[in-house]
Amino acid sequence: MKINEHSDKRFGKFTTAVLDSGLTVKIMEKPNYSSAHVVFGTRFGSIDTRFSTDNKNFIAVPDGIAHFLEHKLFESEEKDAFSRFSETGAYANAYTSFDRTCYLFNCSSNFYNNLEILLDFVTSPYFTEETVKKEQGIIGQEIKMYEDSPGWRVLFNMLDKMFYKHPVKIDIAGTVDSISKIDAKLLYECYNTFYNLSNMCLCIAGNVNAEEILDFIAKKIKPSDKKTVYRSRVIEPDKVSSKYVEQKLSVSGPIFCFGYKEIWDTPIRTQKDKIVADIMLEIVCGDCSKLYRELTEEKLINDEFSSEYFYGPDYSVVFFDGESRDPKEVARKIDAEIKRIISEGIDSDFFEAVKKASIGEQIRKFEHLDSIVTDMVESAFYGDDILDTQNIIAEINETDIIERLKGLSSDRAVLSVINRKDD
Amino acid sequence: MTEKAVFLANGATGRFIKNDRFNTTVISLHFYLPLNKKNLAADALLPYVLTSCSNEFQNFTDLNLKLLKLYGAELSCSVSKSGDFLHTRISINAINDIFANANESIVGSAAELLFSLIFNPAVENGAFDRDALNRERRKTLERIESEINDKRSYARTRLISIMFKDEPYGKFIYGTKEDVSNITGHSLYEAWERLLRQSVIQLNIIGSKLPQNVFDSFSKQLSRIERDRICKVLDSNPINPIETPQIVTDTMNINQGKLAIGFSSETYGNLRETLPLLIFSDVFGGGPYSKLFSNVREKQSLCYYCSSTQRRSKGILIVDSGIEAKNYQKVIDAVLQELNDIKKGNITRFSFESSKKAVMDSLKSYYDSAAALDSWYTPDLAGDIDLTVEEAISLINKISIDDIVKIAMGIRLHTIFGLLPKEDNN
Repeated sequence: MKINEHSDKRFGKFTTAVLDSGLTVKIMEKPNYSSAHVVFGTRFGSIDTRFSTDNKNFIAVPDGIAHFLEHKLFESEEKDAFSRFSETGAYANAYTSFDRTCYLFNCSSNFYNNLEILLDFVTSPYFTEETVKKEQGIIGQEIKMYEDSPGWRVLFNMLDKMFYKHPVKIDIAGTVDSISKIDAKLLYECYNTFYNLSNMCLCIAGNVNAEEILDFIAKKIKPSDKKTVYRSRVIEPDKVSSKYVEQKLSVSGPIFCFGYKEIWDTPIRTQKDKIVADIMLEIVCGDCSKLYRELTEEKLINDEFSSEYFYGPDYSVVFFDGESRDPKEVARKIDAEIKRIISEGIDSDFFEAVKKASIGEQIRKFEHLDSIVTDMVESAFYGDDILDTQNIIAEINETDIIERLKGLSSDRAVLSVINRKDD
Repeated sequence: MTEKAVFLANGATGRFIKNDRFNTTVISLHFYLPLNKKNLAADALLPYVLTSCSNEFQNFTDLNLKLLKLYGAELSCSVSKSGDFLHTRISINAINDIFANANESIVGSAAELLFSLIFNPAVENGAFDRDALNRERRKTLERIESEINDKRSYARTRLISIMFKDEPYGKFIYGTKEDVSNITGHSLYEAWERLLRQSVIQLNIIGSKLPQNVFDSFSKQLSRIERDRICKVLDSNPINPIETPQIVTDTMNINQGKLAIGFSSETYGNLRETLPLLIFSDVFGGGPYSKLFSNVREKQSLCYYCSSTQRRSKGILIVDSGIEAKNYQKVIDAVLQELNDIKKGNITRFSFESSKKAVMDSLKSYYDSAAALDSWYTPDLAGDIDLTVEEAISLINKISIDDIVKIAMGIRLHTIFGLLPKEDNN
């Protein structure tokens, strides 16, 4: 077992270990907290629809299977996981995103009971054809719910035009049709591939003791055969299939999502790439930017306006979304503002203020157990150094921002709009 | 953690909730005024104007730059209904000084900034700045319009408006579009005067250290205001049960229908008195051990969510669910069946004990969230603010299955609201 320890006034003691079983464990001790937050995660998300364990034979699985598996793992032959957590009083849940599936609990008592349940149910799959069928009904309703969600649709419509083949364009839950192709055998196949400990992490923050936890896990976790998961890289063309997409739903007025597809040589973004994107967005359209002021004064945006850096293996998108009476004008202005900043540069007083706020954000994060754990999972899967962010921010200069802005090409921008469906 | 209340002025209290686990300090102002149909639109718009500019920061760009320089201090506001009162919250959250460069007082500056926004707004000759009013008015009008975008919350809001059609509580929190359009710089000024002169005020500070003079500074500024007609925080009027339940259905161009079912309860009032209602609601449709989750979702696969929440101040319970139109009646029947089951005492010890444990466990984690503590320590109806988290836990511990059955006996169907897809949509 390899163990690393660190301490810092922002967060206390931080331990990282890779167990002999292959499992990565990260623990942040917060002795003066009352509760603990725990995530057991696997790098298996909606984008993992084509994979191999020998790097030769690749198999394709139906869209939405990672999410389906997440739902099913809560069941077991005897008592399902929810019932077991019910006995301890913990809050338990799970979620599937583009690149991962996470099982979590939050508790103020019975920590080790809860940890045992978590470790046990995630490592004990049980599916039958009958239980798979039942789940198709529940998830079918979940999919329908998202079909009516304008915020969700507007994003996926944009991704659909932006990406030619990357599975990030496909809804996390899949479609009613794709999930109808899922059966117990396929679920076991995915489970056996992705739920091996070297593809997983256990991240914990709260009122806990790292040493004790590591002992406990070492006893509870059965070593498994180390398996490497091969995902083929998805190299996207340097263009988008359409620059505009529109759908009609029952909404009060237009909702938009306007994004730029970024092109990188490498599949994974560094911690610095991510922070540079956040600072860049604050400069372009943060609430004390010139653009934000203009858009507000011209009645083009309201408090729903926001921006986001959206990334994962082989996809990287910078997008802006909100409600507007004229989404095309908003997109035009964003594009013009990016070009203006590239040519005129950044006001240095403003730049320093944004960096200061970014440091504040990093400090703020370390008081929320759930956001600490989310960052630890990210770090376990992609190697980010979550302790070093303040130094990274300090080193970022105006050139970093300008260079990044230059990569936001109008040719790779997509505007997605949801318009009102008249009754 | 310790918690201490300080008298600040007539009808205003300060509360320091010392908690050294956080990296930030929250300074949060709470105002309570009676909900009033005539004033609602202006009262609800006011905090948005107050947090967007001031006499010192004439536009939001300058104000936001100031916040960035305070390491990205977070300024926020909200309005909500607390029974028959409008609850306005205006807060700032800043990182503790120990994380800032030497000699920078971040928390103290954030508190002073917050107070200056409240006491020294963008006002001239008894009227609010027109640009600020127009900007925030436009955003509020768009907020009202976009209420239909989130179908789940829209269905719940519609249900409340039907259940309380003759009361201010039934109104949408931002008022009607017409009322918002009619707000003037002067009527907004009157709302500001109401807020400072008539509301019950509480200033919560949650952090490791009380910023120097923070309570004194607030008291001093408040003492310049004539606090002559402070509203009395009284019990809210609970809902009246009705003989024949109302059934209302709307259609929309949607894929999934929404169902919101409102019940009247005989239990209402402050948290201490309504803890059994809280547990009842959780046993009925809270966690995965609840009746609705385990039977309506899991056993019958009728929906992805079907859950129950209570609003103790008005003595109501709401069950909501996302459904297929063809299952509309089936889901209603299933929900009512589960309720009848509880009335007959059919509650398993497992789901009852699980519910109590879940609620108690989550209460214990309140100390880990400044936002949760802030809302815990805000004035409660009929003033039982002094109920501590520990006391609540020990009271919950004493609740029995019989208590839950007793609550269930007082629950009566009041209104069913269905938002269903148009025929041609499916």
